[in-house]
Amino acid sequence: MSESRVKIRAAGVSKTYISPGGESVLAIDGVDLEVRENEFLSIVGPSGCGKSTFLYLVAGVLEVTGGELVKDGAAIRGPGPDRGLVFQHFALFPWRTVMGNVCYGLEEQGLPRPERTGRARELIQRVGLKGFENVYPNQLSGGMKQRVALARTLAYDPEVLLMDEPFGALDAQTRLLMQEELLELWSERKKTVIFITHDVREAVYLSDRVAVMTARPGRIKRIVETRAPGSSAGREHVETQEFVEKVNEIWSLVRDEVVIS
Amino acid sequence: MVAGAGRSGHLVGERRSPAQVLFLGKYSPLAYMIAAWELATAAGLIPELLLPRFSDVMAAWARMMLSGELPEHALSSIWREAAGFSSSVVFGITVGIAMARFRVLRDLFEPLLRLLFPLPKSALIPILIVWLGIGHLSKIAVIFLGCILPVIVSSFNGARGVDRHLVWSALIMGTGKRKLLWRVIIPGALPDILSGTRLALAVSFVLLVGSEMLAGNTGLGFLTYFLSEAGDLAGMFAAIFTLTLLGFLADRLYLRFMRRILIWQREDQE
Amino acid sequence: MTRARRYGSVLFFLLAWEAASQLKLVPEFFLPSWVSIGQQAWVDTASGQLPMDIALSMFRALTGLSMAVLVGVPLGAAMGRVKAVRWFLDPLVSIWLPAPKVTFFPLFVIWFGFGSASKIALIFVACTFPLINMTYLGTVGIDRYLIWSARNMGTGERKILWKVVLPAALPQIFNGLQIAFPVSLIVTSVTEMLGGGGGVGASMMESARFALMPRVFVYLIVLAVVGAFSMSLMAQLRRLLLQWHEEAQAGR
Ligand SMILES: Nc1ncnc2c1ncn2[C@@H]1O[C@H](COP(=O)(O)OP(=O)(O)O)[C@@H](O)[C@H]1O
Ligand SMILES: [Mg+2]
Repeated sequence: MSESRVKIRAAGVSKTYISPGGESVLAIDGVDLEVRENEFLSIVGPSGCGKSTFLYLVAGVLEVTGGELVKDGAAIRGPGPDRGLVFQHFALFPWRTVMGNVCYGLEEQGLPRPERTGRARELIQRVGLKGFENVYPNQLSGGMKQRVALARTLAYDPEVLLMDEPFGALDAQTRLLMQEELLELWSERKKTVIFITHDVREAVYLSDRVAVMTARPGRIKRIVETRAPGSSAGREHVETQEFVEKVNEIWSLVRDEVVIS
Repeated sequence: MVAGAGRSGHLVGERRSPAQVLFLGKYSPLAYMIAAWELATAAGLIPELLLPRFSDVMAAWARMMLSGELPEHALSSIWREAAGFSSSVVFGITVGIAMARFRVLRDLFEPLLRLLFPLPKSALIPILIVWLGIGHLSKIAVIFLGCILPVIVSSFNGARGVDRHLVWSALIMGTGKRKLLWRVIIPGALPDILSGTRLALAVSFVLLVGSEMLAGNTGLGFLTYFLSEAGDLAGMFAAIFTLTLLGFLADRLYLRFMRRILIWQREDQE
Repeated sequence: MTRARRYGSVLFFLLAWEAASQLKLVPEFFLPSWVSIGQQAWVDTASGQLPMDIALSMFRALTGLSMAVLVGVPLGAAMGRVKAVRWFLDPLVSIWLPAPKVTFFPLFVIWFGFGSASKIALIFVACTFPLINMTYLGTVGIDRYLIWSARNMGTGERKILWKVVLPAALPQIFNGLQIAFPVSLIVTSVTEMLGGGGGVGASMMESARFALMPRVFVYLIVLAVVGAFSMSLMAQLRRLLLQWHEEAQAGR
């Protein structure tokens, strides 16, 4: 892995929010992290430690207030379709159908209509929602909504996939299914993924590496390699002794922080 | 939103005989009320000085329709209502959304809005009559000023309340700052805008009738007042009915329009 | 900066008004100066007219509104819980709810005379419909499980109404009240303008007829203050009464 390129590099990144009342909140303080190209990296940590904040900084929808945040060697300035963002609560446009949502990014790229519907249709089918093209989001279950959100993001083919607790609002079964589907999608089309979760098992199952954050103001406390280089992702290894040990190791790191916060 | 809209249809069960439709149908209670009214007045239980017979009201209505009196006053009212209401909607949405988008405007207008919003809008009637006279203009202005505040406030709240995750999603997918308004902010604010505007519609009719009764010599409000002073109770009722009908129709039309636009909010479509 | 702009805009508005009036850019008749408005307010307060008018108008508004609560809430609850009542009232409510009730004022004058009775009657009618409607929406939407579990615990049908249905509908009833209160002020002022007989609306209209603009503005400001005061009162009352509800919602 050492020879693979660094896709995203954070050096001493910090973010201070100014709330409407005027007081400032230091959400993250000095985050150092390197994410390699086509790596699947998860971030875990106590809630409120600044995981989402970090992700939004990478997405460019928030601005850093300190440190350096770089993608492909250039500082990140503002949002762009090279970094797709998937939210816990889906953030689908409720006034657009499934098709309309998946097409949105392609419309903005100026793709002609036949091409974008073709591509959208393909993706909708790929995430298992064939037949739901003309349905509005409020009629879909949580799992279906997140599939649409995933399809919408994959449609414009970002290099980096940023996911903020994407399966956090789903029931346990749907969650397992979605994890497998995500891994499949990820192995089909290689992407750099930063995945936030509060579920340590999920993190270990999905990721190449797991970064553990400290309580707020968040920093990276430790990074744990969870998948041997070259080994394939899959459901099989969740039974193994090694998997269980990794989960326990990371969980104890997180627990210490939860106790602090 | 109106009581029971869409619910009461199922009260009597799924399959209904013609007799059930006739006697228990949705609007049959109205018929019972009218029948009771007619019988009570015909039997002399209620003096006709206080309540004209329903059949006399209908006769007066037909007479005034044919003579052109009712249509003329109705048209005058409709014109004022349409002009005042539609201009307040266009203007109010624009100002509300602009306030949500531009900090400067928000800082400038918000205190004034806060000051003026709780004012019972009818208080504007006397002033506007003094300023603008007793013709169309003062009524249109009353409706415009009375409706614009709720429209501004709901558009502002709607635009401010658009989920920031939606905005972010759009920005990430390449929507520019300017297009964001049309692509995300306005559609996202629409439910709020439409329900605020519906409230304004109800207020507008009150202001229309109030200002017509207070000054001028056209419009259904004027006609009602004029006929009551002339002692023509049946005619007055005919005018009242026409106004009530207009208010009801306007609300229903608006509701349909709203449902059509907000089709994506419905949970039972398709 | 923000704060400066905020207060600045109000200050600028008032100053521009005063300047336009003092410098006779706009006839005094259109925009009376704040000095003359203030003098007028003082004169009317000292003579007792202004306090009397406010008291009379508030009496009418609150009487009509209380009657509307006493009638509208039970009717709305009955509509929500009893099919026959719903069948009967639904068409009536859906037709009269959006109707401009002010139209009925001439009729009410014939029925109840020119005094306070006709005004209070109209306020009552105008406020009843939103209250019926909101109470109905509140009681009809109650979680069935809530009622079932109450029944299982042995609560009698009548008690269910008081212990389950009405508390659960309280937020909606409050919404109805928050609609009805401004309506009561509007109808009070309009009927007073139309029918005379004292009160803020009547004095305002009378002053407008004689083009006593400072006085019109005094009453306008009074109405704005009364409106603002009652709105914030309602909001506070709501916060007080519905504490449990807001908390329950946040926890969900
Ligand atoms: N817009 C904001 N204004 C002020 N404080 C915020 C804002 N957003 C988040 N915070 C604070 O920043 C901290 C980190 O938030 P977040 O990144 O959402 O944490 P996480 O995703 O790890 O749960 C929290 O303490 C939160 O209260
Ligand atoms: Mg978060």
